[in-house]
Amino acid sequence: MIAPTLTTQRLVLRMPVLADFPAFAEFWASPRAQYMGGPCDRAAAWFWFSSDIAMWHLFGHGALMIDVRLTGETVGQVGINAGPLYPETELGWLLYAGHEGHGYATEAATALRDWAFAALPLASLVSYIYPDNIASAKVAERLGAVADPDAPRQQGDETDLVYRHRRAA
Amino acid sequence: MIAPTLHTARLALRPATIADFAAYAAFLATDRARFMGGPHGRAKAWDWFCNDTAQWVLLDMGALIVTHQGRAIGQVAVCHGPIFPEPELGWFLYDAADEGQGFAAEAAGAMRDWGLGPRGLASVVAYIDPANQASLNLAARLGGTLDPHAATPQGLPCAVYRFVRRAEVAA
Repeated sequence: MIAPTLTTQRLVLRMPVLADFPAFAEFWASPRAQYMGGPCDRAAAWFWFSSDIAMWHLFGHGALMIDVRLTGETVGQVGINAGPLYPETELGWLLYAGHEGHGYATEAATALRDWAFAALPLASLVSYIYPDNIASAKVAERLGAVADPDAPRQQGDETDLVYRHRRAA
Repeated sequence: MIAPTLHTARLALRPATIADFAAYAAFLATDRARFMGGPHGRAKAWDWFCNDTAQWVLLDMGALIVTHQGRAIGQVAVCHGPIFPEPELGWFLYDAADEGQGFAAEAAGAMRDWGLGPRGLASVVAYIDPANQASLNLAARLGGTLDPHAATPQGLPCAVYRFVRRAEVAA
């Protein structure tokens, strides 16, 4: 399917293109990827990039790059993730270095969550968060998600916090 | 681009769907995947399945599932990306029982023609484990020629067969 382009007050969320890969691989090579099973090399980053995009074809959802409207700068990525490695469909986000503290992750994840609940037959979404990733846990809480201690975890990530996002009543 | 569906005398080559993943992962978990760096677990199979699919969006090339009378029997691909130095023509059949009937040659020939024809590539290469005699034979049958100077994935030793546009061969 064709991925949507979502526009918020400050951001545009759009389908990744090949030109996004160098910055994406740089993120995965950095210590910032430690909360996502990284850091990892360029080949492993390519597989993440591929899954982010392939999911749009395979599931009708996937990842979008986050651009700041004012500058056009790409500051990260937000995604609706699934596949054999995920117990449930996940709402995930990442910001490139230097772009934290502006509320971009919350603004982007809110828009993609709302799109997902409107476009997909999902009762809920989860966010898997490493327990020491305080910044992401705060984003999940700002999104109104609630910790779900009983949710199944990804294999090898049994200590993850799981936040559950529910469709608004 | 939208992945094409290609038809040969006996086969249809069509884009993968999520329903294809189970057979794809099962193949990569077998000893038949030993010439592709395997056997591979489910996570690595998912990596490659997504790589094969996402290429259509990112690079206007990718993999197609080979079907015979509606049954998926394997995959062919023209794939690139940071792991392959050049666009690669690849093929495999899931099951040994489907070998020996020319299916791989028929499918890979169609994929080669698509890559060098409609897709407009000047050449494609096949990276083949030197111990994989069946694929070495097939590459030669398909008109590939050994290119001892070609770069290999991650610099690892492998045979590289090159396929070029026929018009360039004639010229």
